[in-house]
Amino acid sequence: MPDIPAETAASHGPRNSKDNKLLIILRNYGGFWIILPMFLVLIFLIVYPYFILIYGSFTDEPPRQLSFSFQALTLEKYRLIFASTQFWVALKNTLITSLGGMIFALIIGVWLAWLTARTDIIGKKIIGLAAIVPLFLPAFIGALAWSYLGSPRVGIINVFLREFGLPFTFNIYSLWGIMFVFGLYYTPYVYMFTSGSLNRMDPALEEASAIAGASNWQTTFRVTFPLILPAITSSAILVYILMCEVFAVPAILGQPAKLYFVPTVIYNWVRGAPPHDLNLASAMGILLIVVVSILLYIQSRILRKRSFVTVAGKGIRPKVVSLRWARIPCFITALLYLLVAVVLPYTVLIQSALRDYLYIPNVAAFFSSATMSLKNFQSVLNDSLFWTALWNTISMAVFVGIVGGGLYLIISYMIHKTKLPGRELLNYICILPIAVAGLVKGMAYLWAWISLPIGIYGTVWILILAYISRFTPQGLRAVSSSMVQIHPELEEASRISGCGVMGTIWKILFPLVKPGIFSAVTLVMLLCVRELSTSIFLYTSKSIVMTVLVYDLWESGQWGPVAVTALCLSLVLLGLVTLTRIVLKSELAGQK
Amino acid sequence: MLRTHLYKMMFVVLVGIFAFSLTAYAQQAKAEVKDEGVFIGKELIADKDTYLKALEEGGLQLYTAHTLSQEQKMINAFMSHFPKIKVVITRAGGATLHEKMLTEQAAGVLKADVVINSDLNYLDEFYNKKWLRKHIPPSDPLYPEKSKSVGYYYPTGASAIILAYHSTLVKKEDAPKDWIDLGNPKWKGKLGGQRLGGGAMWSMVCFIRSQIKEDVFKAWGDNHPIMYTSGGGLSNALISGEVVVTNIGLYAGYPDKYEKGAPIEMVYPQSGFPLYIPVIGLMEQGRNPNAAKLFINWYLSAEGQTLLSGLRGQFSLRDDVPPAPHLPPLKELNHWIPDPKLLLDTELRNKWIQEANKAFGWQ
Repeated sequence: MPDIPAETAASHGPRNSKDNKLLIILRNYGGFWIILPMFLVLIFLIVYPYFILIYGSFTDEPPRQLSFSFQALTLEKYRLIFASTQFWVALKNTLITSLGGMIFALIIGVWLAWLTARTDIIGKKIIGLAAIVPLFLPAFIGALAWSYLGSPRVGIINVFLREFGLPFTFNIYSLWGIMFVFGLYYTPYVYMFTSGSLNRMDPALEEASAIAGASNWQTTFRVTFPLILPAITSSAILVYILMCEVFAVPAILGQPAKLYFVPTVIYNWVRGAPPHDLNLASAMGILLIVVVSILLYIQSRILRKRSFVTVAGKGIRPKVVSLRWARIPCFITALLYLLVAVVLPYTVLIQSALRDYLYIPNVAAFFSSATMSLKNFQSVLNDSLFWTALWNTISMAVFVGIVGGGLYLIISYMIHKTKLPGRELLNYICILPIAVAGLVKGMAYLWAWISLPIGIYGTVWILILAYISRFTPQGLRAVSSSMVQIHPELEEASRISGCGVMGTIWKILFPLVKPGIFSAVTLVMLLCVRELSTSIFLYTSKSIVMTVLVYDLWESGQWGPVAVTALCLSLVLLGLVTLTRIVLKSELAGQK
Repeated sequence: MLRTHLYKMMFVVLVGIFAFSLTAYAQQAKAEVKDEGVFIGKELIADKDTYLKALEEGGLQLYTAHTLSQEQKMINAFMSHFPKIKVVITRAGGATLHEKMLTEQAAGVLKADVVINSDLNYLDEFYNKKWLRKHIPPSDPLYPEKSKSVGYYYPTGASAIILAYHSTLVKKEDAPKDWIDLGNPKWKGKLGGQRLGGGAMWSMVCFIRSQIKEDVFKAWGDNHPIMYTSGGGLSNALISGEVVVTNIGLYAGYPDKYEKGAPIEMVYPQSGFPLYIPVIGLMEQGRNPNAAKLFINWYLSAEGQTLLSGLRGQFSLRDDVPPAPHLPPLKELNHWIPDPKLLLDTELRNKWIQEANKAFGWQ
């Protein structure tokens, strides 16, 4: 990992006095006082809530009060879990389905990223947009839309297949169906991570490969993809873990087929028939930490002792592969993804939003306007809750995106660009939130922060803090994937030229990682807008967000208003993404 | 020309605002403050002292398991009478709401003045912990004994758990008439159901196990029912035709969908059907006890019950309140109000739910 060599920097060129002081502090105090505030912040945001959760998994009573008794510790909950056949079945289903979904998402995500970043394919903007649009739908809405599309008896796809006399039945209520939906909805993560890396890559190695006589394909597979391995493995692990912990997709698509998954089993202990066993749920929730730790160990073994610095001091003009005759076929593959991941689910949503109820027995009914009206729109848009939720969602997402983005940038810098003591520990703390199942995260924040005399409970602030904590792994990875690619020679050159540490960060590093920061901000905003499982524990009618409203409508069986609200949610997300892109473009234009 | 159009539009908007104001005024005028207390129509809502103190308190916190959109409409109606009493809602599903309240209480920050939960067990736990404040609403005599714990919790309404079928895919003569009919092999793979967990499905299990002689769950299980996580999910599956027959809870918006022309028919089983009864109570530690009393009294009044029945597609247990549109009067139906002792028997609940799940093929 490239680090700022403080000693090297100190030996070069003139320096201003402020900078010297900083270096002296860094050298004399080992950076302890610099990293300490960050540790305190992360202890409050992450360590403390998850410690409470872990503590809860070793006790019989939920840790609702800030009192700890080590005499009450027991392994009973873990014994019960391991003795349960249901757990092993659920674990097997979870791991296998997530693996299948991850492979699917990797293939599609890397393929789309490569097409848009490194080829002369037509319609790059359309493909780029298509690759991230599935992020605009919360997973449970996507799963609901797919239950309408792919249910074996009346799924719209099956209605069309039957109408055209095709002897196939598409069954979304299966392990394959869940893998498929996982793949579709997690492709954007892979795309965002890998396309960023591909865009920022120094073409020198690829040029060298070409000069050495390698074909375009050989260069792509032997040089390009290995160079973006950090982004690929990071995104693979990220999506795998997210798939393991997501509740809505396996609940909606798995339960009708009697398929158990870890999150659905947790759900039964948290919200099923009383008496509930939250300690058991906590124990199962944190068991994912073991899985995640193994995955992270594998990742570190893969990436050990390899340098992935790809942004050096030279101008970056990525090498473009000419697809020649394959341009159209490749474009069609991208369109297929657009059709399956975007057009089909949104068609269901639009149909549902415009109809009083959704019953499509044949193709004619699909195109019929008989039961169409704007009643669902009227009912949603006339509801004051909708507007409260809309405002809360947008304002919180923007706030968390900006503040969280800043926090993740500082952490990423400390981890990847300094030799501060404890930076590895910092990295591990930041990964922690992703390792815990979503359903129990909300409980962790509730248990941890409710007793603190800081007056945030019942306000939007508790949601904001929970979001910043929850999305630390994703935000940090988005910034870090840019950060690790910056060659130290650029910073060294800056210091040799007389620029101080802060000046180098501001003038050299910050502009270079700006796309990464914007990716992080965008990603965190998207995740905030889509978040449900934590919000449901922490909101009141004053701090309600859109996903909670959608879930509420769904629970009461109002599928039409659900579709309207989900469409509005997608528009919000599209607006936020467009806005950040405009800001990024103007920033980059300003730099030039 | 354009100006004329603009004037016309302005005129229409002004007339609209005026009409809206009149309606709002007329609605607000319904609550009358007399020496004996506050009345809506002829019904006493609260004595004058409670009302004046409620105004001083100026608001209350409602913790509810009813869906937010429905509850917000109830609040709007309440506030049209009492605009100075602001209501803040905390809404979650029954189990989540309960856990939230236990955590808040443990942390000393429980703000709830009024609680509505879908499962009697939760309110009974609060009652046993002495977290409920005694309050007898003026409408107390109008509610059946079995549905309330006098002075502590009262039924917000009653939702029928009945049968339903897809009216396009199933002919009326073939439709199930009774619970056991869902076990007919012709419904194999076409039968729907809701996961057993919350208060509604527990009411159904109690009814089937205590009132029906046949092994209904075994018969259903043989048909491999497709289970959904919520009543909402099940209702969408029935309308779309993914399942064609099922047991349903009316709270999932069936009367509303029926009114909109959705292809569903509801069947009141010949051998009777259970009522699922969410309950409302006054919290002991609440800071706004008078506003809370006023709110509970209004909620249980004829006006509150009529509105709630319409919103939730249910019945009121008050005889003088009409059911939701498209529902027959409750008196004409062979309904069953669960015995609270049965509902609160946790051991039996675990046993019966486990047995039913096993019959359905669930672990």
